[in-house]
Amino acid sequence: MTDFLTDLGGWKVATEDFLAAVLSVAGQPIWVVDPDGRIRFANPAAITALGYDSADELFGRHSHETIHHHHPDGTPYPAAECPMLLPRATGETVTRDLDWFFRRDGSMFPVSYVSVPIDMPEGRGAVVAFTDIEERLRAEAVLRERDAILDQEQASLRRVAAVVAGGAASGEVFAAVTCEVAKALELPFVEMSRYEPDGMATVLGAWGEWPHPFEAGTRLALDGPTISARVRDTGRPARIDDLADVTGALAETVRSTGIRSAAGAPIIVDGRLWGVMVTGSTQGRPLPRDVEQRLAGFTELVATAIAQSQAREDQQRLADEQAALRRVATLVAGGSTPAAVFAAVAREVGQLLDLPLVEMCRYEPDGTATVIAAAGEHPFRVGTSWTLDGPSLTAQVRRTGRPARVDDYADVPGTIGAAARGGDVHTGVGAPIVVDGELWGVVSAGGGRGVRLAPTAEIRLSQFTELVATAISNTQAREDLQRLAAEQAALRRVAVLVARGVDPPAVFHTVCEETARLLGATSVNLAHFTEDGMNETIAGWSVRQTHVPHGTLLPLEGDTINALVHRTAAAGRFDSYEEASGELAALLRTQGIRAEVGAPVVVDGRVWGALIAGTDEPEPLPAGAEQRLASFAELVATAVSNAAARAELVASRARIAEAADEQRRRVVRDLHDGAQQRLMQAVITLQRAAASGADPAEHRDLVEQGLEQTRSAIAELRELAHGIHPPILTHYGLAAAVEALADRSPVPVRVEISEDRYPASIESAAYFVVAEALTNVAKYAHASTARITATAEGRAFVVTIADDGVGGATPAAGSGLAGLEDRMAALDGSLTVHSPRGGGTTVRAEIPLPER
Amino acid sequence: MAVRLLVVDDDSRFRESIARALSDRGYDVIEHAANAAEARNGVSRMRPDAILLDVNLPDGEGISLARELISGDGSLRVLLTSSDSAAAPARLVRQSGATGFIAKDELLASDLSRYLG
Repeated sequence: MTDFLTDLGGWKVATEDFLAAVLSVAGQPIWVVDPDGRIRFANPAAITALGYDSADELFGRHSHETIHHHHPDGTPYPAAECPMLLPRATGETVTRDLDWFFRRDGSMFPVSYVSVPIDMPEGRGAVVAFTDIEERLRAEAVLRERDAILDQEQASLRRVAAVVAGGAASGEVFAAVTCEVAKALELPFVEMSRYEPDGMATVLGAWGEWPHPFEAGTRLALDGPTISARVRDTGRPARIDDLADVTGALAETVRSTGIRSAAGAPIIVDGRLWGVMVTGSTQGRPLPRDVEQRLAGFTELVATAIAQSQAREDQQRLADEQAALRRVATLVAGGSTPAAVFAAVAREVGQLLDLPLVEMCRYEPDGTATVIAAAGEHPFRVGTSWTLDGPSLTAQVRRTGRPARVDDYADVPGTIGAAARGGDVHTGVGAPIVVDGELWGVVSAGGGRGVRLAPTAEIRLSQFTELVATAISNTQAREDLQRLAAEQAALRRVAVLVARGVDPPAVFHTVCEETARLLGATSVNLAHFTEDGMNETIAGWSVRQTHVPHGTLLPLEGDTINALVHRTAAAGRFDSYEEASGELAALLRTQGIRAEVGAPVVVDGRVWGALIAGTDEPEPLPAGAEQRLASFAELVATAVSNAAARAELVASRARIAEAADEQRRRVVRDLHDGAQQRLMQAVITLQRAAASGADPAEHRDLVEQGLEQTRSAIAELRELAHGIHPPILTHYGLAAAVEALADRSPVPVRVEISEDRYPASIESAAYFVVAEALTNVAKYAHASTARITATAEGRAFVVTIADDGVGGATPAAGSGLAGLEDRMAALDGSLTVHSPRGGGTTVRAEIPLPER
Repeated sequence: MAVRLLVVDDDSRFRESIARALSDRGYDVIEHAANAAEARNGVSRMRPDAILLDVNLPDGEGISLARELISGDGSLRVLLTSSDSAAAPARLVRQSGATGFIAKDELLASDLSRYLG
């Protein structure tokens, strides 16, 4: 080797040595080829890479023939085509990214190289530096493989995404998903299930290379530490490489299908652990290392799809529900009957909540519930009556007044629970029907086995029951209105009769008939309770001749509504005459009357009689009948009172007329017996005096006698005139006239009467009351003083005559005061006597004054 | 000197007979009046000493007429009368200023000088 020097930054080194040193440490295989293509030099790295032990094995050998003689596919590789040798000819650098060299042992390996021309004394050679790229190629291949797998997985994910996006998260979708996942991850079995609130899991879909028992819909009990249980407990992906020791029935089942290892990832929807995706593999096919993470990629997609699907479902369900509510509300607004509304509700609820077994019950006062409408095949038939023992829906709603649910009738004791189980009703919700603020009844909707109650099912049901309640309320309101209108019309008809003063018997008969029709009674009677304790039937009407005949007179005792009303003076009812005692009750039974209601007819504060409605049918008259009867009883009372008043008026007038006649007769008699007699005598006496001749004494005597008799006549006439109407009263008023009376009274009388004048009839009535009272004071009172007042008090003229005598006066019939009562009545006035024994007597007359 | 007397009554027959009876007793019956208007007229024209006055006049009531005439001449002596003995309330008679009341059928049996002078 020539001895050249290289300048390394001022430091001179022997070029050869330097070169040799550099080449020997270089990690990159390098050799030098001479112009003939022979290997003149190879560094240790090149020797090692080519599989040789020493440089001697290579030196002098033709490089191409040694290491580059064939193509990888076995075809020969002529040296002229060798790119490494080109720089000798062209003087240009050549690079190749991929080529193949042969090792000493004949094996090929991939390389990349660069060949650089180099001038040598003999000509141009080349320096070649190459790199063994076998590792790199292998690494690239692995990466490519992995990329391919990833691409496949992405494609699978996209396919799954497309599937779940296309439709609701349904059984078909779940099956498709599990199939895709199994294929993408090359797993023999994949299953998806949803966690239930009761701790079980429901299989949504599964795919396996071989038959397995995990059909969609299967409910799994997560006993034992299976993958599903682990994921549920931790909320994280998990794997079990050997299921041999896992306890529990589920693990048994899993092992029975041949699965020996399992992995799972959680499905988390809206932050909540919703379900799990599980995969299993058999003996000899261990699960891939990262399968649980790769599963998680899929479960995320599925979770999103489920969330979206649920959201869509929710919206759809909301829209459906609103539409359903609107349909039912339209019926209600249109005045549909409760039965029609219920049928519509049952239909809608059956579809919306998937609870097709619907019934509507009314709560009865005795604590039971009666089914009044039903839909679907179940044991709660229309008309049946149920006791509310046990925590059934019906009982719960009754107790709380709020919606209720029964998740499983297996746990419900009591009559209804047993019937439900027997009728294959497994679950249900109930909502109250509240009509006008009162708990009226309940609507229950139930489903059979396999039906799952949505969390808010009872609330959703209650929206429908509100509409039912409205329909019932409307119907009741309509019925109430109709009944009220009918009642008012009937009352008006009777009132008109009463006002017109139609004969009482006609009024009574009409009342009986109207009452019967209005109350739906089969018979109505009007009874009068006489003074001596008898029950007199004075009117009646019936559909089938069951009323008590007019004129029947029986003792008012025993167990009858008549006796009850008489005793209590209040409306009442008698629901059964079966065991009732007494003649009247016996008669009622004979007539066929089974139950009655009655209301009192009250006249002047006394129970005059009763209006009684009865029925010959098994059902007693409905609640409230006795109150409605009372309105008619009042009209009867008015009619009776009017009739009595009219009769009294007629009698009073008759008495007054009679009294006037009597007075006239008395005047004529008194005139005849009194004054007329006296004047006759006077005439005779004076005639004798005229004929007496010469005797002056006899003449004078006779004239004196005649004078005396005449004066007697005057006195008699005066008395008579005074008895009819005293002149002082006419000319000087009540005060003066009463004073004159007081002067004549043997008992000292104080008179306090104003000088005001009043209508003649009032002054006259007052004067004669005072006159009569003073006469009684003089005759009976044994009084020491008396006081008379007369003055206007408001709208009446009030006269009082009070004495301090012995009292105990009663205006006996025919006495002077009694006679004055008629005169008072004629003026619409009143006369009262207050005379406690030993406490003096006060007579008080009140006469209404005319309007000013 | 005879008492000059005015007789007031709507009944002419009574007026005639009582006037004759009173004349016999020494009274000078100077005038008759048949009603309240004539009575007032008579009093103002003739200035009588005494009046016999029926309480029931067609155009007035005697007691109040008496009060009226006496208030015009306090020396007048007025005796009220009526065919009805209970026709004049005692208190009113007193208050009117009249000297008294005597029923017609008692007049001739009474001492009239007490009332008429």
